[in-house]
Amino acid sequence: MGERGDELDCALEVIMTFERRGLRADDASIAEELRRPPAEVQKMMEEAIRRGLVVKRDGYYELTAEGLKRVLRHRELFIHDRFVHRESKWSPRVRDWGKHWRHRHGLTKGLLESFYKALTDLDGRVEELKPLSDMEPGERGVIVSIACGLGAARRLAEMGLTPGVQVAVVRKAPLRGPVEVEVRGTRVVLGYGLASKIAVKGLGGPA
Amino acid sequence: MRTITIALAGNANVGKSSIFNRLTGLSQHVGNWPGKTVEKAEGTLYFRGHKIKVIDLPGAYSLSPYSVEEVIVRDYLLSREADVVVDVVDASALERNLYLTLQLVELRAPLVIALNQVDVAEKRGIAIDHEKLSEILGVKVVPTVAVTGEGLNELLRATVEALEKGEEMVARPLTYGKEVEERIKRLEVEVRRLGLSERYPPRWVSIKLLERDPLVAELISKCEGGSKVLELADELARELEEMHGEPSPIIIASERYSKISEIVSRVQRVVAPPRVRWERVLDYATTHPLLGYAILLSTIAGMLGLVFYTGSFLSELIESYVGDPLAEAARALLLSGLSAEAVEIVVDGLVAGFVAGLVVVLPYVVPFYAVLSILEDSGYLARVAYLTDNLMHRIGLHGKAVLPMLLGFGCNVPACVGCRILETHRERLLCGLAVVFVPCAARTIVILGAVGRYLGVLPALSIYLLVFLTMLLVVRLAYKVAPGEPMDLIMEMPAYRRPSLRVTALKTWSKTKSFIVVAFPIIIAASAALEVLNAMGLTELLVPAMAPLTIGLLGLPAETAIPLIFGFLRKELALVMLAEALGTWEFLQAMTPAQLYTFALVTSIYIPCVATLAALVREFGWKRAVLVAIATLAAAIVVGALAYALATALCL
Repeated sequence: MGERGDELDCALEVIMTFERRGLRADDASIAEELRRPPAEVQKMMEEAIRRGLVVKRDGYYELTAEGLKRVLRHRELFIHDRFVHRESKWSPRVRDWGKHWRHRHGLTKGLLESFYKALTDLDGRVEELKPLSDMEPGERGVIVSIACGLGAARRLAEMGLTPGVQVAVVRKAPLRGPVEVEVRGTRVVLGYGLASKIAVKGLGGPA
Repeated sequence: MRTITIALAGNANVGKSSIFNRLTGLSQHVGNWPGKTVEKAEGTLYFRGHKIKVIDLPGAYSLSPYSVEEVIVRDYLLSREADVVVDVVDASALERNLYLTLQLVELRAPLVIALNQVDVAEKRGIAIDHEKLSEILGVKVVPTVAVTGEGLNELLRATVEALEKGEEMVARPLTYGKEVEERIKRLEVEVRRLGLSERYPPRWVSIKLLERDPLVAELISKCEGGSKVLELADELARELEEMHGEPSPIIIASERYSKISEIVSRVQRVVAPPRVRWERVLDYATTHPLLGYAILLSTIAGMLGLVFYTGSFLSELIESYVGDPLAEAARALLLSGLSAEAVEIVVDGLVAGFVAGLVVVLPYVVPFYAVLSILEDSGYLARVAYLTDNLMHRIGLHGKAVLPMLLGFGCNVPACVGCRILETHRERLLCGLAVVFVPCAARTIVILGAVGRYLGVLPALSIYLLVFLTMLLVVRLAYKVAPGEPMDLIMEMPAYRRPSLRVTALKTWSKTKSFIVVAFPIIIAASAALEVLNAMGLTELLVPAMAPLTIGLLGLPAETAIPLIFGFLRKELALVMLAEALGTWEFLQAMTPAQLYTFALVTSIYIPCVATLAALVREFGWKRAVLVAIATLAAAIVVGALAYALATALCL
């Protein structure tokens, strides 16, 4: 991955986000998004081109199929480490991710597909996502994806917690206790473990 | 004149039971749904010359096939027994409540909507145009306030009038978004060809198939040409999944909710900011990270204190004014006709068993039910679940399990029944296992009467600690081996409201009534059976038979076998029997402190009493009940042997 792998992933995220919004990213815009000097960004992007992750056209960058794959892997790892496996410091080397999701985290084939689909369709950088359990009381956000078993996902949907819905955290119990959220005019309490598997895009504090 | 059947459907906590109680009063009958451990409440009333049967369906958020309650509601509605389904909708949470309504519409149930708790909605600054809602759905919508009974007369009138006139009560079908709607229509065409019974509306079947509902799929697979329809359904569901990147049940749920948002935006207006009221303050205080726990602890302590205080007082009262005279009367009556031995069996067996039931049930359980019913109705128990979820996770359960656990301190029997509030069978079973370890009133008597009195307060408290530690270990172990997916807490947080005395009284009564039916006959029968064994001298034979256990493993005197056996009948009886077996109440003259301690510990843990066992059988079936009994027995022997070894090594 190289020592600047993380930075490079962030740069690719920016390009992907721009593309999804119908925009195009150049050195300056990436530099601005990442808050890095343009010279540094330029150097990084040259390496990315050499590795075949992006191509440069009229001064703008476009992701290649390889680059897209790398972004998705980055997103998958990010979600995995931030959301699902966050408690274990011991992290085994995972060879077959599909198998890992199915066996360790109870995601069935259908759920896994929808999970990848949500990763691809994500509007914005994956770094903007956070687990519902990390939101502060009063904070609002939109549910982006739910990485839990189908049984729980179905129950959440019935209670109105569907992807795309706006939620607000009412309060959180201490010591990784449950999270109380307001959704569709009612209040629902979610266990900490479940809340940490719900990826939310923050909308900031109460209006 | 024909009997009209009305079924009440709705989410939990919407005031459905209040409406049911208001409508039927004391004429209700509480039983179980056939073959299920879910309560079925029925009642009758007379209105404008009609006899109306009201059925209170279990609270449900959805009609999915994944919870027992929801399947019951669904099967009942599909049976088309009800002339009208009254959908009780909480006006203060309209959006979430309409989710069930939409499914009732899909099912083409004859509907009348009771828009309940309009007063609460008003206080929160929400105004709902019920006429508009009625217009959109094409069914009658009647605003009600169940707690005061407001609007219930209109609800009945609207229902009866519509029936009398033979009006159409089925709502007009709602159309969903284009992508989903197209697929429903396509599937509907095929489903119609199957020639299903009238009870299954093709549109509903189509939606369910798209949702990959296993029960409906099974129904269709039995039809001729059904497999083709299933194939098509699967293909269409997959198309949707590819388009949306969600599993199809989630897509359909989202679809329903977007329809609901559309409806709500047309009928609901926020007219004023919600007023800051006492419930806000109470909500804040009772969920506060520090204050909340302080309130929780004092509430539990207060509740237990109150129940034990009133319980022991009432218990003595009943014993001396009912129990003793009854035994005397029975003895006098029988002595004239029967032999002395037979009299012993009847008086010490049947009559004592009856009195035991009376003394355990009425004084402890009734106040417990009453207090808990108040806490539940007010919405406080949901806060308790919120605060204790973390703690409950340590033993593999979640916050909702706190109610049955609390119940257990009074008597394990209602606690086992209380496990029903958990969603999955797995959780119920784990909770049932945990509950039988909770020291009930009877076990508290043994712990305090033996250890507390002769060895001091600290050893008594250490027994509680050991019992809970054992529970933790056993339930954790069961958590690992029990089949099924562990569930996290998903619970609605209801707003605080004033509990109604009427509802509390009715709830307490109906539960006590059904409890008496289960526990009473068993206690009486077991009591008589043991007395027969005693008279035949069989219990004495058991003393040497149990010696390897009592003397060998637990280091107890051989005579303790008798109180241990009697403890199975009624745990507090173990103390009296111990005194009889040893020939003295000064236990320390006949036993070492370590022995006494071990005795109390083992009595607290081993096999739940016979009434609890019966409750376990009723809730979980024979096999599982026996497994629970074996688990507790094994735990008691292991912990008892260890405790005795340790206590002997340490001090004596």
